[in-house]
Amino acid sequence: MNLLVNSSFIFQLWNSHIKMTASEPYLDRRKFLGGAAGLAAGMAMPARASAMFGAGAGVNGDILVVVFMHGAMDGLNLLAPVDDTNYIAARPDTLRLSASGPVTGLQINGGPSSQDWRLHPSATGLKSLYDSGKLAFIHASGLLADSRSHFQSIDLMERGITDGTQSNSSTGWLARHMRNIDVPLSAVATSTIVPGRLIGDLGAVGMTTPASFQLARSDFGGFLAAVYSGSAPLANVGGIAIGAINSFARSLALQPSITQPAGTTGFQTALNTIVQLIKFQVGLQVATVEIGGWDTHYNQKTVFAANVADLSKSLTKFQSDIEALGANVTLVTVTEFGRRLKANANGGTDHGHGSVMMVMGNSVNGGKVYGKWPGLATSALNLGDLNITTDYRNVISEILTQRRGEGSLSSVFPSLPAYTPLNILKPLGS
Amino acid sequence: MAMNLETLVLNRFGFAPRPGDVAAVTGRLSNWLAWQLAPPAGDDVKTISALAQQTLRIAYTRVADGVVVNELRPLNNLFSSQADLWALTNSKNFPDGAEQFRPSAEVRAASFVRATISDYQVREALTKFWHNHFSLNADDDAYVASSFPIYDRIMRNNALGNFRVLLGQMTKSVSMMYYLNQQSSTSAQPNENFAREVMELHTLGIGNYFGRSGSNPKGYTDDDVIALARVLTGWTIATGSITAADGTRPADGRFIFAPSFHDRGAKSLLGLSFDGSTGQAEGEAVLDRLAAHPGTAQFMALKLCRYFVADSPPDSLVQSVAASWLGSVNAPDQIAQAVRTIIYSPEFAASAGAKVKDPFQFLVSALRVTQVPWSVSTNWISLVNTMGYPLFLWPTPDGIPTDGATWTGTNGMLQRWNAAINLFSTTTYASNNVASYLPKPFPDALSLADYMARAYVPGGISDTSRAALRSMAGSSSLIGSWLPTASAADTQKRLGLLMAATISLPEFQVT
Repeated sequence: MNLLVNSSFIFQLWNSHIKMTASEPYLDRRKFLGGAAGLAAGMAMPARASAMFGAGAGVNGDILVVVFMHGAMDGLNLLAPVDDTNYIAARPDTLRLSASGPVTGLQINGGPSSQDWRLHPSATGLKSLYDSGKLAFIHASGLLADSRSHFQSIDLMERGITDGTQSNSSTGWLARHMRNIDVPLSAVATSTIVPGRLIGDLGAVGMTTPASFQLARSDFGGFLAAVYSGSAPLANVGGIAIGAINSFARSLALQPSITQPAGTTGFQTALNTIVQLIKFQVGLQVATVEIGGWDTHYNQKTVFAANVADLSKSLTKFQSDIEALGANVTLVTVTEFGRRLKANANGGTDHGHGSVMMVMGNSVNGGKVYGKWPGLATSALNLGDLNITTDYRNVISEILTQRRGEGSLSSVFPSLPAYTPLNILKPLGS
Repeated sequence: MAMNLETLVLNRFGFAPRPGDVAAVTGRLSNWLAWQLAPPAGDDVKTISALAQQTLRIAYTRVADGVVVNELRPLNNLFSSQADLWALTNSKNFPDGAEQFRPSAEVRAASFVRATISDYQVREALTKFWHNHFSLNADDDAYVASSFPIYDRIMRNNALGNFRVLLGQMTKSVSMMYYLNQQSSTSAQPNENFAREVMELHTLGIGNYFGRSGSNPKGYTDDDVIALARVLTGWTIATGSITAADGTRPADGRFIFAPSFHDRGAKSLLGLSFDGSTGQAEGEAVLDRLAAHPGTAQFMALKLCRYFVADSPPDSLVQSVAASWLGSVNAPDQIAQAVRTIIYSPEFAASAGAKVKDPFQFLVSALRVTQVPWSVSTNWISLVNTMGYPLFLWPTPDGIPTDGATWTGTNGMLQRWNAAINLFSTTTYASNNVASYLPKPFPDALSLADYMARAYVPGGISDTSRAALRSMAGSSSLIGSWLPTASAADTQKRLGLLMAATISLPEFQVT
């Protein structure tokens, strides 16, 4: 598809064959939320339930924001060794960065090889963040599976596995990390539909903007709580929704203003929502953001530049907003795979393998490109595509361990054989 | 839930029974189905009339002279020819994006009209299914958007027909060609986008994908994707600059085979081998193979059952439908036969309550049961988007998820309840002259609540729901005081809120 897609249209997600099940681990949450839902509108939450806000693993750690770049982001167009002869040979100068050409890259230090590493020219904000040590790249990273299908790869990534037969794989990895946090606003997706990495977390809230997360008539709250109960269809999910709406309404009531600065893009709006939730102190622990538009089979030069500009500007603003709030936030980006080294006939690139991840925050050992660079020689490629030397789960494991106090990676990624920190992040308390 | 077969059929293979519909079908389901499964071509008289009266706002500043265009305009492109729609992409004559994208907006508006009004409810339900199966973002670019009425016609005309015919017309359509960049795929650099999706999403399904290389009689591999991309080089659209097989250069947006784009090398895939000399026939043979493949029958049977029966349908039913599908591969009513197999199965009859209405089904069913006068506006398009259902605008080719969990997250439930409230207590979406669409006289608010529950939710509601609805009807702050002292405007508002409460009931959300 041509990706002139505004990320506000990314509502997805690829959860069609993962069912929420009423399995044991979620019983406590349902009981709690059911109780909250049963309260008449306006009644205060009992002290016992209030005390549960803020409870759970990682409470003293960073808020984690997971950005999924849908469509398979071309890592070799975002950050590349521009003097690499294989790189130069594989692509027209419109689809590669260069030292001087139609897409002249921004030179950076700290590349993973002794070549001339450059960022896309639209990534001026990212370069500043990188230079100031708040942003790190992990090149040649991604999903260690053979699939070049968007939908299969996204599904595997969201579940944190590399093939569908692996155990404990029906839930999302972020939901597994959140296993003990029974608070409705602790996990927020900035999309109407909760993405796959949160499937299994029945308390996860989909919220596009804080102002939209309210009943159009508050006097319907009692009626809805009464009818979404007992053995009614959807009583469980309806009750959870009413619980979340009620507790959010109580938070909103404490705010002087809930008006949110409008983002100029869907991505920026989503990040603004996260900033607002942090400001409102609703107990946010993890948040997800979807940004589409990366499936650049066609007209990549223009589309990619616009996407990178959005990414760069929005992340710059987000980091500045977070610093103004004094909050501890770590943001990580993932994408389902990279794109083929060689360009196609449409001024674009087809589906590839390895790509680039980003980690951003004040605790990042930034200004460096992490990961072993496999090179672009034909013998080093994975069937024509950039190889993967860093499993994306390794990066996320490091974040969860260093910044979220996760003590059981085997619960989050049961099929990840070993975890080797790359020292991308300073540990908590340092 | 207690739901008789007629109610279940009208809910699943239609957009909910209007008051009186269940009674009209009861006892004559087989006659009704015979009529529904073989509808005449084109819309019925009522729908034609409604589409003719329907307008949709268009607003932009004209490039040529700076004039501000802002008008309610009829759906003028809906029945246009391919050549006329293609002409919209000529930016010399139509430099304004709003005009180029207008046909796609008209299809969105018409889809609300048809789903709500059409007599041929089964065909409309299947049209929606096929649109989402062969999903594309209708506003992806001006080519996709301007020819979208043709795409809509392909889905509707073949909704109950033969899958191979539907697959072929879809493959050759301007909208899908441009959406997945097939039209510019050449032998020098074949584009794998369409070749992959036609196997992964349209026919064999991801369950029959067997990895990077080699071949597997049960499905496909990446080698097959690459080979199919080569097979389909030359399948393109008449833009005026490409020479067709007959040596002409038409410029009217029709499908053409361009020999100069085609890879003449030998190819083998899916158990077929080509020496490279047969041109377009290669692709036709692959589509034949895909349409008749047992893997496709399994994939389509599962997808139909997931959409029309249950998110996790019984395998026994999937196997019955797959058998019907394979057994009628060459039949002109192959899809209708599969629908009949589902409807007359014990698994379908036992599935009441197993499906959650998606936002489009929810909105259309609310219009159908209440019979409130309405007309599509851009507000409707925004509303269904806000509810997480970007009608014909899903960005990726996998289509909008169809399982209940997608629509029942916290925000999904909230947006649904808010839609119910805003639909009938404001004039944003529908007339608030709701009183005239209720039977009269009503002795009291409680019997009005009972009427709405009976008429809008024919499957019945629980005692809890009934009590809550009656409580709302009797509440002085909401409904109760409308009789007899309230002003007319106040009465409308209170009636609207009672309607909103009724369609917010849990029993209305599932079928």
